[in-house]
Amino acid sequence: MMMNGKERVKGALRGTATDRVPWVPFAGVHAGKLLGHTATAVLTDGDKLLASLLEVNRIYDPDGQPVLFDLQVEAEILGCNLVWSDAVPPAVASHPLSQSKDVPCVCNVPEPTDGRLPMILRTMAAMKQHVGERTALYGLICGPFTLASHLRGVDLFMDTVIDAAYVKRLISYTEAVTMRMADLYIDAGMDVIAVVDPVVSQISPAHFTTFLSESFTRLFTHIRNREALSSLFVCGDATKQLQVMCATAPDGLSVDENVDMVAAKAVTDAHQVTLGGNIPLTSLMLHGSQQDNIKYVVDLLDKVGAERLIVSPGCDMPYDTPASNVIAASQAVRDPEAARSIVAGYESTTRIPDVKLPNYAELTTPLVEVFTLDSASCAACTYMMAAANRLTGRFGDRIDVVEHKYTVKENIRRCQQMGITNLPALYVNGELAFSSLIPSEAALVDRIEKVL
Amino acid sequence: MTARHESNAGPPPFGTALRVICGFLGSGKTTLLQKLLARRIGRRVAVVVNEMGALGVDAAVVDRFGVDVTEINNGSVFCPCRSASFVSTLVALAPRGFDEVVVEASGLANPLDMPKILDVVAHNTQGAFCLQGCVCVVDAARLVPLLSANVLVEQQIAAAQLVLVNKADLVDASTLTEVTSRVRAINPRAHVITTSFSTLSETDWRRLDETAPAEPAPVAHRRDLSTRKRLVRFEQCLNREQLLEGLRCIGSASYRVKGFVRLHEGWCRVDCVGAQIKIYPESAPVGSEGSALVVLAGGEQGVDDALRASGWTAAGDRPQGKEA
Repeated sequence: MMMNGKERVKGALRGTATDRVPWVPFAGVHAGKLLGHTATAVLTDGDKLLASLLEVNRIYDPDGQPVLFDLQVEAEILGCNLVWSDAVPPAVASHPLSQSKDVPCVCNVPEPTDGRLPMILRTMAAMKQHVGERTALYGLICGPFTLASHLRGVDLFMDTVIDAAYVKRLISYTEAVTMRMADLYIDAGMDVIAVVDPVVSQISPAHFTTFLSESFTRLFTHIRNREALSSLFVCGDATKQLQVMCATAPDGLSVDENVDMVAAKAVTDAHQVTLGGNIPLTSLMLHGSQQDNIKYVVDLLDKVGAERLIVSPGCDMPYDTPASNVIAASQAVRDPEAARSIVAGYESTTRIPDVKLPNYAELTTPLVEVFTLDSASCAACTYMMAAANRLTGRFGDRIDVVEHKYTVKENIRRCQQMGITNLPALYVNGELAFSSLIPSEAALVDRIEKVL
Repeated sequence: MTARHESNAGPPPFGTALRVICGFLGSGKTTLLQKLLARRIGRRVAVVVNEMGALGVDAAVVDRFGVDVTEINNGSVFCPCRSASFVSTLVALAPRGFDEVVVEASGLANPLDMPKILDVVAHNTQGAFCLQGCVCVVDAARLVPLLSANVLVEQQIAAAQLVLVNKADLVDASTLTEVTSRVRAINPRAHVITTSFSTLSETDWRRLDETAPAEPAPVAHRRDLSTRKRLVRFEQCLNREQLLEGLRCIGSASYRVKGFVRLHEGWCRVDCVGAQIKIYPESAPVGSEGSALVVLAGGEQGVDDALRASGWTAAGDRPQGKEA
């Protein structure tokens, strides 16, 4: 029986049979690009957001789609200052709890009148009215650990090591915020509450269990009790955390290109969780060809199978992603047989010229290179970059610190040449120092002092 | 409450007049309240004083006017933690036939949260109160940096129908022009007047009396998690120089310091806003905290370092109710 998109997404997340694999393109700021609106415009102007989302719905014909992909909504309400950009979501520029370990009162949870929520809730209601019968609508909330990092800043990672009691108290507050946000979005008609917690990939499974397992479990239970569906979105190399994340019982888990989908599927299947992902954002969606995207989707379906799977980009699509690539991925999900014939025997011709790497052996000043997806838009990358920037404050011009953003085409090649497979990563004089896990300031300083 | 003089403020047309004074810490709200009460002598006036700290310093000041004073401390009356106390206070005042109830909101209150709470009050008192609008007091010398440092300042201005740009004597003409422009940009609908020591002209008092509620200016509602509250208790008597030295140290690292301190020569009331330190002799402290100061500071001000440098020991204390 032919299903509509909403039935398809709901079926997949519930583990019931669907007529095909659902397709959920994460068009956040990219939605604005379709109508010529900047990221700032589409994240702050309800009319432009609605028009852009309807355009996404028209040209990509998604089975499900997010209404707003911005993990800084809650942080802005809670007093963080944001820096806005034309092509990426805003970045958090100040952390209200950075100077002391106070824990906010639970009365400080968002209200429908706070921040951008009036605009967001209006847009959700309008989307429900326009496409809600046939499209599963995703309400994205900032996860408790990423929100804690927004409020506390990079010191949160050190706190997990030296002051577990404080982190637990802070997480109990951010959990209250996520519960409230989930309720607001469910009340606004969202079918799926996506708890987006990218920074989770930067802590160990043991710390996940200590600090987050109970909060996530309560949150997903709450969403289920409200008769909505849930999904946990992470980015970065979350391979080690798959077991503990699935144990919190979300309906779905969405990962990016850093995670091997076959290995992940084995874990999610064992926990009866639906896996979502993971078309590479930069190398394929932004810089690849239509055939590249078709081939990736077809290969993914062939490797992973059609059960309990949702095909989507690894995370929020880059603003400048060519619409033709998204359409190609969309078609591949819809008609894998036809797509398979299009790319039979296809080998990618997308070739980026070599970049000139530094002569690491001859450096006179230690070089710290931070390889990120983009510290302006990826929360985990933001905190890795912030950790590196602290070194500049400490060592001054005795070291050089640079960021290589994967969104820049040359840096895709740079990563290939250096054998870098997981982002964010921090290299010192061309050698891997830290990958995925945000280092403490003491560990970073220790690493630098060895090369000074 | 004792009636002494007739006031020139007329009775509200319907019910008890309810007036709200808001404004950031140290802007001059309590001074305005005192001057307003001085003009209300002869009328039945009740005051609700709201403070973020546990020490009822403002209530002690207002108590001298012989009016009916209710203290709601340790949080904002517009916050869910304390709004139940606020509602029950107004419900209790409703049948007592006051001409006017004046609410001095805490310096960290967000009056944009006020309408829904007043709806509850209206429901529970059958409309006994007639809201007269909101007056916001702004510190001309500190507004520009405070707008960057604390999200509440903009919202307090947005909620008001009358804004006093106060402490005009502390700034030059160009700063005053800039501050006034910033206020007008945030809230173009509000009437803006310039004052020193919260002193209003007869015309401005009439304007205040005639203030009527209106829709707030459209600004984003945001919450303040950054303000720190610290309570410094003194077991021993201090000498005046010790007190001044400590206040100089923490004054610049905080928004506001106030409380009652026992000096060798007797009790005093302390009121410190940045470098402005005021010490008034008192016969005795008000409340049960004894010799103690409340320190309220922004997240980036380094108040804990300043307290350590002063040699004073502070207890951490959250700004609003209990934590998660």
